[in-house]
Amino acid sequence: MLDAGVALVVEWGDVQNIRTAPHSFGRTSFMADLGFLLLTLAVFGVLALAAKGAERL
Amino acid sequence: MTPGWAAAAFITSLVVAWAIAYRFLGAYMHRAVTSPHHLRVEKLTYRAIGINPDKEQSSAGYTRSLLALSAVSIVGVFALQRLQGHLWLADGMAGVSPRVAWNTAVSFVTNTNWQTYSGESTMTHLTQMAGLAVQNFVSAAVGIAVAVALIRGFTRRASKTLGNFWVDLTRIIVRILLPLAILGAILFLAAGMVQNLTSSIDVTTLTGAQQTLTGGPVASQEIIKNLGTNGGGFYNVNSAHPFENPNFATNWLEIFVIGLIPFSLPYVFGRMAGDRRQGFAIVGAMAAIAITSIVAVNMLELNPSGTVPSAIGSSMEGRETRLGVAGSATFAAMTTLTSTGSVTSFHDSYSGLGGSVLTLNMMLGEVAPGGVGSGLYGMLILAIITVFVAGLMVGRTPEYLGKKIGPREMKLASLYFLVTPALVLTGTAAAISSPTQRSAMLNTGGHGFSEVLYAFTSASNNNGSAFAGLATDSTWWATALGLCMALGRFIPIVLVLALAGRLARQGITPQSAGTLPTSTTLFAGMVVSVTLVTVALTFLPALALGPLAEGLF
Repeated sequence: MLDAGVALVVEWGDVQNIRTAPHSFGRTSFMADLGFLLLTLAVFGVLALAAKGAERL
Repeated sequence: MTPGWAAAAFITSLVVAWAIAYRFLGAYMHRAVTSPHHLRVEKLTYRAIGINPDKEQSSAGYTRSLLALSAVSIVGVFALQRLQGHLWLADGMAGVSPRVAWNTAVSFVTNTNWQTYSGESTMTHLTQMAGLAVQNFVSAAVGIAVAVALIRGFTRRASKTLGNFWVDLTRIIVRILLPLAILGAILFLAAGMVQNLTSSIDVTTLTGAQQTLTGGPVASQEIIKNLGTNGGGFYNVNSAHPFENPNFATNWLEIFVIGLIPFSLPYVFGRMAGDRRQGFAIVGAMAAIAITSIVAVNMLELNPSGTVPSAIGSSMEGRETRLGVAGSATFAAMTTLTSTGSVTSFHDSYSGLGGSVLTLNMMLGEVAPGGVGSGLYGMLILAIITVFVAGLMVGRTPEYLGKKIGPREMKLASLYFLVTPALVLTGTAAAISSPTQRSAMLNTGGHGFSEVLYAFTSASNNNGSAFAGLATDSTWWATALGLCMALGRFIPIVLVLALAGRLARQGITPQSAGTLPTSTTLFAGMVVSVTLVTVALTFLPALALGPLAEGLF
């Protein structure tokens, strides 16, 4: 537990880096991120439709 | 003691332990999911997420809540992996690539835990703890919640509701998974597993070589990995790693933990149904298939075939010497019978017929005893199909627990059964028919085909173990297997909850002379037969092209 506490305190400063995170993401990986998020949306869209269909079956 | 007798003692001790747990853990879980009282910590949770715990949901509402949580979880775990290099406990690790991050997010949210990465060199301690381990709890609880909702469908009369998804989820995590995980993690620690937040340490081995040892929160993740039939290892080699499975005792304990909840849930079914014999019939069918499979894999692996194994008297390729052939074979059989992706040995190194049994275990739909919750609801669907088939054969009325199994119920049950084979066979065919994807196979002929068939079977059944020998770190494979995992998990759940809703709306039909008894040994035998025949008819041609051809010729 002590290790965990010390580690969290030491690493706390790193959270500031989140602000600069987008700069480390290239255009290609941004498109890949967007693609996979849209794919997730599509999968759950299909599942929502399947749920409605199953209700009516 | 000969290896055969040692294996028999090993398996017998596990069966006895599960039989004891069936009664006691089953009774505890029954109380947990049916108690009218909320614990203080649960009330705080309900207040925090803004739900009324005493308001029940229809099957549509229950399904919507489940899908919403899962979608948000996938996005959350994906984002955590992408941003991990900028968060705490990064230890110099960068963000995970988009394709691996998405595949891993889907994998852990669907209780599959297929891994296209090396845990110790890809995931930060924060991702392991706040992303992957959390999903190990949540995905397991989702499976149990769906099983409980289906049981309510059978036991309620003219009801429009199935319970409250958020209440079920919270109770299962707080009352069942967390206490067992804490107890199990302490046992694992005592047996030699590591648990820390240290970064990697470079050491000089006895031979003078340099080696990097990676520590981490292993024991806490290891317990829920097996208890929730998840399977995602902290290390790349999973439970073959000495920090993740140090000795023969932890190996026994891990196998026991894998079967603990799946084998105990039928007791909950029997109690909620008001007839414990119904639970016995279901667990009897599960146990008959499981014991047969475990014994078969042990026999096939303990009697080595091939030049080198015959010469040295043992099939040790791909196995850990500290765990032995029987310890590895039993672990492999149990993980593929459940939805656990843990491995202690390379399934690619098993004999052709041994590998066939492992693949067949998953093709059965992982119902014996199956994943936590998913095994029980899968077996209950098979019981419905059995009642229908038996009704056709002898002219009995298709009823199960007083609920009429009509055309609509059968459509839902049949669709449930068809989803996974469609995903497995379509995915395998798509991969094999493309020269580019075929190049991912590291072997040719029947063995290479087995690797592809195993990968799609594992993903679509939410198992997560790998046969090895297949390079799946490409966008096509990550996406194809990710889609199989998502659709193989959630389409069946959607169908089960729709079926539960239909059953709950029915009244209870009194038993008559035309009612088929479903609490007998005969019925359990019929369920086993229907399971084997339907799966054999579906998958035999594919098995014949790969593992069977390899094993027989």
